[in-house]
Amino acid sequence: MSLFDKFAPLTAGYRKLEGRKVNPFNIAFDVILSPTEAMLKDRHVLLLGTNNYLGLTHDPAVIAEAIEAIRSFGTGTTGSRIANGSYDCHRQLERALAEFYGRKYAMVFSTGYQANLGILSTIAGKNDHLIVDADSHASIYDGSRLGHAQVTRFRHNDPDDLARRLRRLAGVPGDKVVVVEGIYSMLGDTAPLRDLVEVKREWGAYLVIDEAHSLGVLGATGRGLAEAEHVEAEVDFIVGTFSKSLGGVGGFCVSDLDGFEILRVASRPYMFTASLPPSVISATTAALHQLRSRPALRHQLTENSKRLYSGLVDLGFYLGPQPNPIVSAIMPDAETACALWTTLLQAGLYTNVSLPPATPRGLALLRMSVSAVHTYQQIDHAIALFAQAGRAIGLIPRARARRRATYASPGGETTIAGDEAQG
Amino acid sequence: MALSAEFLPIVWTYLTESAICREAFAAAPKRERERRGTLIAMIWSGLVEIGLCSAAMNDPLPSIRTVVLETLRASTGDRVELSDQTNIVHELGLDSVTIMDFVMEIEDRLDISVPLDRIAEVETIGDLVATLRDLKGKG
Repeated sequence: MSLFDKFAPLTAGYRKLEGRKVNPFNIAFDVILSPTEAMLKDRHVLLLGTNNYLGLTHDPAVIAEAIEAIRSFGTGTTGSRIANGSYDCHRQLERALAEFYGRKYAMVFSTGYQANLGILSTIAGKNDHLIVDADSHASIYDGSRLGHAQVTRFRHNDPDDLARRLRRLAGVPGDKVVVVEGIYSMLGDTAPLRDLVEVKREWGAYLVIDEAHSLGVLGATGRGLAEAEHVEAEVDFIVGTFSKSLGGVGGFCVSDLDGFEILRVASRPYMFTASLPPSVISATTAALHQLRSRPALRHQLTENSKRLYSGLVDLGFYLGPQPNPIVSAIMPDAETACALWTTLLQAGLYTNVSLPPATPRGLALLRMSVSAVHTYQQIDHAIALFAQAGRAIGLIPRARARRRATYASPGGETTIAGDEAQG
Repeated sequence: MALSAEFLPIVWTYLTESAICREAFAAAPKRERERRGTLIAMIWSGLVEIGLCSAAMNDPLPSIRTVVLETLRASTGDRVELSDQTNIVHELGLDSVTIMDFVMEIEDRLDISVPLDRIAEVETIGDLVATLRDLKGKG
């Protein structure tokens, strides 16, 4: 008997992957050449799975700020905001975020994961209720579990199911807090936010939206899905991350609810962890400035996403329901996902494999994320490699590409491209 | 045949368990709950007329245990013998998300919500039945 016996089924699955030449869950890049290119040993690869939506990781202005901050303030803060003090840059970033979102309050956390942990575990107390979308990110589940509220999940993107669950709680004491995401990280679909907001309002619940994958991606000024759907006033808390469109690491929450600041001494994932290094904070402030002052990046990202999405649909791949920067090809099984991933990598294209239980409904996914700084040539090259690899492993027909149902159906509703995906 | 309100939950159950009906509902405008009600009634009376749904009316409220077993069989197939002692994780090999998804089916059928910490406590089918009885009793 060993301490790790309980992981036997997981170990068996992982061993299978380790038996492959390259393990999709254990890859290390030797050189990052740019937001879209890297070296794996001596192989040059095109990066299509980094969440680097705006390509700001290598932005000269962002890098300059980070270097300046390290020179002036050192490599780390060596302590927590509460116990060891904030630096002025932490406050500055919080003010910049509050101003960007047009909200009174903003709090910065050391990771996006901790932002969900810190907010969800704290705002919903012992007799309160968290109702989370079933496809929520692990950090939402973990944040819910860390607190003492009763947690239930509602069917993914189903306002009627949310309403049923809130109805069952009618008359039960305690606040009700609904948690959804802007863009869901596995299939790249957005929440039906206007409908959800209507339900939330009808039942007097609070609403938290995690815009991790939609900040800098959606909305007239890049604030995310709530802005795009014109319902920001109805969203009580917006949570987000610095590690995707802003190219750094860290998380935040903004809100207009008075009393918000008490969370600084109530939220344990905020209090009992070291604050972000000045370089990360200054880089993030600079990246936020770039995000705001260069809307062309966001527009290019939309164009690039559509180009990749329609290219893969044309080839006959089954994709998530909407052409957002997360483009996921639905694979018949985990083995095929890994086989396609390996074939693509050998041809010089890096993507991600996503497997259950991290994925909804037991789906095996070959997941990609598009960047604003991908060129059309790079995207077309990626599509060509998908055609080659897909045919090589017998996943798509060898004959010329078939045209499939696309994201724009006559009713304007979105559907999953390809029928089998509905199962 | 007129549709009486007490049958609606059962109708709902039968309709949502059929893949064809599920798609029909997915295609319907999402937020029009009233229209959805009418749609249920229409489909229901059609099904009754052609004699497909009489079984439902003869068996109005299945027991919690029956609901659990039926729902589990739908996700595991008939290949496994199910009893109160069956361990859901080890014997049926369901991962955490699959278990939460199948509890969701049961929640719909019984019109209750099962908090996630209660699901986490469940090991066997017997545990689950006991938890559901407890929650249903409270409601």
